[in-house]
Amino acid sequence: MVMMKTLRRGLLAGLCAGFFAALLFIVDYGPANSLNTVARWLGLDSSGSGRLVGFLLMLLLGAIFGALFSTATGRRDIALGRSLLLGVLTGAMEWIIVVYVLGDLVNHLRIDFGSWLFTFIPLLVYGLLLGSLSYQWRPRPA
Amino acid sequence: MQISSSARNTRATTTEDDAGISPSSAVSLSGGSLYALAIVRLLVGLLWFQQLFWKLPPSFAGLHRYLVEEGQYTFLPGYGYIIQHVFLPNFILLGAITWTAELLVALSLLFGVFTRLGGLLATLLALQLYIGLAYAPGEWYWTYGMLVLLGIVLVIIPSGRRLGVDQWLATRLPYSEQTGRLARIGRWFV
Repeated sequence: MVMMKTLRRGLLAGLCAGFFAALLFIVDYGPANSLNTVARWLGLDSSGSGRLVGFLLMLLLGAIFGALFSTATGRRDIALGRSLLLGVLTGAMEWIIVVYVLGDLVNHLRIDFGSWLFTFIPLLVYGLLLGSLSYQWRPRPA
Repeated sequence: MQISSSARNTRATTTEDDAGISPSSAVSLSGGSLYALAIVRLLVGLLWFQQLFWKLPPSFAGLHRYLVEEGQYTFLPGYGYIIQHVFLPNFILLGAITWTAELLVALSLLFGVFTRLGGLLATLLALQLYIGLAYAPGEWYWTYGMLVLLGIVLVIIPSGRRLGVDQWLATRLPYSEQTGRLARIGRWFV
């Protein structure tokens, strides 16, 4: 029961952090042309629905990695610094798995310095937000 | 959940202050306001982050046109001469410094780490843009003016205390008269 609550909290924090990270891909000349890049990570880009797919993908990935984050932290009363650090590591892990392995190795996206910076930093920001929100929403002793 | 924009506690000196109704008493921000401010900080960080991509190293090519324009249209006497005779001949070095400074601003604001230092750097960079480009053809002078003002706001208000590393740093750099100068400066920047 406690683990379920922890998982739900991680999912919710991940969803919120994923939404904020999606914002970083929405504000551009498009608007939201950058969300096509997100859809491309999983080979789901299309001219009609690429942006919507990218947005939903940011939310979905956010929730999944949020749940993983909460599993890693478990039921322990985690300190703020550790929560932020684990969050940033989760963001880095998301970049490695989704952008590098699935995007670069599987879907053959070319990652140069610019596209590395463009994808890596927003996912680290996602991780930081995940760590911060999870800490803020942790259950406190009565 | 409240936060003051100053590291020191303001001591009330009048009866009105004791009741918390003095017009000059310190202002506190609610939790909701702090989160809203953090989102503003993130988006301003995004603004600076996006500007890195049209002037990427190693050539910083996109920057060259604007530097030439600054040399022609700056309103500050003598600044055009400096741009044409010092900055343009050393363009790659200037490009590297500018790009690195903008990257630091973006990282500082996106991650909320030493946010007020990032705000200060953003203000200086924006001020330079205002001096150089505000009156160039096709530019709206308020564009750079607003960028300066936005930077000043982020210097004044500690916006990294929510959804940022500064929330953790603030507890690591407690205010004390005994702490060293470096710690006190570091404390001010979070």
